[in-house]
Amino acid sequence: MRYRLGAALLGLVLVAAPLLAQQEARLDGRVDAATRARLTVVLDSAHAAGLPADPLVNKALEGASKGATGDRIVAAVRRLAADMTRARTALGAASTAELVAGAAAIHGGADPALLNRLRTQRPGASLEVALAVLTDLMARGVPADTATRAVVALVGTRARDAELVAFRRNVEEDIALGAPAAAATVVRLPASAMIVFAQPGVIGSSPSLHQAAAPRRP
Amino acid sequence: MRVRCAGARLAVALGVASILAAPALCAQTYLGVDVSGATVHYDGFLSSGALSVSPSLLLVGSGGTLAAQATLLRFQSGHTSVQGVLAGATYLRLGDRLLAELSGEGGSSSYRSFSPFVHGMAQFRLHLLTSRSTGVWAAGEGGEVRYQDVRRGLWTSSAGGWMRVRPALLSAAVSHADVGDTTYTDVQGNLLIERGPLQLTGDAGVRAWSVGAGRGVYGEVGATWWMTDHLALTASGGRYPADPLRGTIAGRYVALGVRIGRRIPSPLGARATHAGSSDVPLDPPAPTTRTAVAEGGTGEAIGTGMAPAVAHFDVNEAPERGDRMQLLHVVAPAARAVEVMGDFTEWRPVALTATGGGAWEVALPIAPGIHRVNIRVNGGAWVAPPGLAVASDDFGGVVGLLPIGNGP
Repeated sequence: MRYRLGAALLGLVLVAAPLLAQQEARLDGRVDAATRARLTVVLDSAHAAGLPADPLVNKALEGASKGATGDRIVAAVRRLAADMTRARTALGAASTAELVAGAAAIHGGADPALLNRLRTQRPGASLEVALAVLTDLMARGVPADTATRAVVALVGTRARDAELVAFRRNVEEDIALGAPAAAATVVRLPASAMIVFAQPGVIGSSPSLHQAAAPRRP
Repeated sequence: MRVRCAGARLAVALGVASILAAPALCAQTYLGVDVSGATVHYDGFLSSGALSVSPSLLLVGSGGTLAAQATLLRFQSGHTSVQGVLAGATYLRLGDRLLAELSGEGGSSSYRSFSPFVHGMAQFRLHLLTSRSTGVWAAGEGGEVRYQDVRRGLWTSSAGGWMRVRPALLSAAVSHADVGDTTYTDVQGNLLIERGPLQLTGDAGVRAWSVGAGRGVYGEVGATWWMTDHLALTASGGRYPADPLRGTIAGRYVALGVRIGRRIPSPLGARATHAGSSDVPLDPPAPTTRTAVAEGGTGEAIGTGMAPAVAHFDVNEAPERGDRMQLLHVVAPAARAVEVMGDFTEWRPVALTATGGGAWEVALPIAPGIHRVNIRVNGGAWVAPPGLAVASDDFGGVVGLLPIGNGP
């Protein structure tokens, strides 16, 4: 039994090691030797922790192409690895795309606990689009709390990826038309859009719903 | 009469159901409390000073909204009035422009040891959005009120319209109500203006016709000044009519107070700022190329010696050019060279080909997903293509987030 387990682990190492080497080879000629050596350490650590190397190498290549210093490149790759670790902790088993999207969301300010809630709402299904929508909303200026709660609410109502995409597009349109990002997000939530219409004296159901928005009469 | 009463009770039941069903999932919670001092003069009574404490809760979920509010009034005489109300609403889209709303409200008020006034009602409302900034609606409402063990059915019908003209929201409505033997018709107009931390409200109306509910003109004004994200000064005053639906009598008042709690998003979509905050752009600026990107994604270079701006950027599938091929299309009228790079180019610059008229394009294999991309003109700084969400790149600049395929 022990031999089988050992053989399996050895097999995994033999398969994975060339993959890591392949990823590291993408750095050839793109960064100086000292930076390459430091990146190798980071990539090896990430690999040992079970993180995919591809996004980390991408980050290094991005920095190299933009003329960033070695220190800055290594710091950016380390930060991404840390964010991916947090994303994995929040999401549990996740694809590379989910980890990258989750890391971006966390980097943008999303609460990892709410990412975990997304996973529990959609067990076994991909969260890549949901996380990408979340990241996109935050990048457009929606406060992290508002964006995260909006996406959690949508996913919680079993919204499909296409609906999430439509939601993001609607918010984008409203922002382009001049609406502040947070208000556009709240307004575009399927039913909560009515918070706009349901103001006192407008077309809302009950003045009581929105009296908090106006000074209280005694 | 029995049918009418049964109908009223059915309406109350529907109202309770919509209250319970409203917050299927809470997405936003607004908890606040208003504390104010006021002078109030109810019709038929002497004027009195009053201290008001009013906590409120608003839940905005994907299934609807739910609001709860209580008001405790302590009068100069030492007597106390307590009011409480719970209201919920659920919505159903019937099309791009048509929306159905079912809402319910229940509440109670009491003063000293008098019998409390209790009300419950349900409303069905149909909204028609005639444009992005105008709409009309029509509604019917049924329910029941109870006072001193006497129950009375209530029925109302109303219609109105609204218009957003930033920074103002204008609306008008006409409503008719029957509450037992009391019947009345109101015509009312409302105005909401919002400028940064300041919210101004005003309404004016006339009770044009009435049996048992008084007649006359009324109007109120109010102002809320948000000093921080969670603290505002409030001032309001005016005259309001008797409300037989909720058991309040007509009166005049002036109130000054504070509101503690998160600001509720404005129906105007105005920027939620407070007095101390700056109105800064939401997107981080491009690192060096000053680009004025106007609404719709057009833009132009500012000043001399700067790289020409990218006026337009889009990506479309190009299956005729191969599997997963995407055609990147850029409009940069004054450009001599346009390059793009991203995670799909191994972060190596790829030159676009001029196709005439300031247009540039290149076909690249890009897998579905969210990609990070930059663009530059004439060898200038790498910037995010116009129209994309922008994120920090960790290297002192920005990248655009490019959705491909099933991505957003």
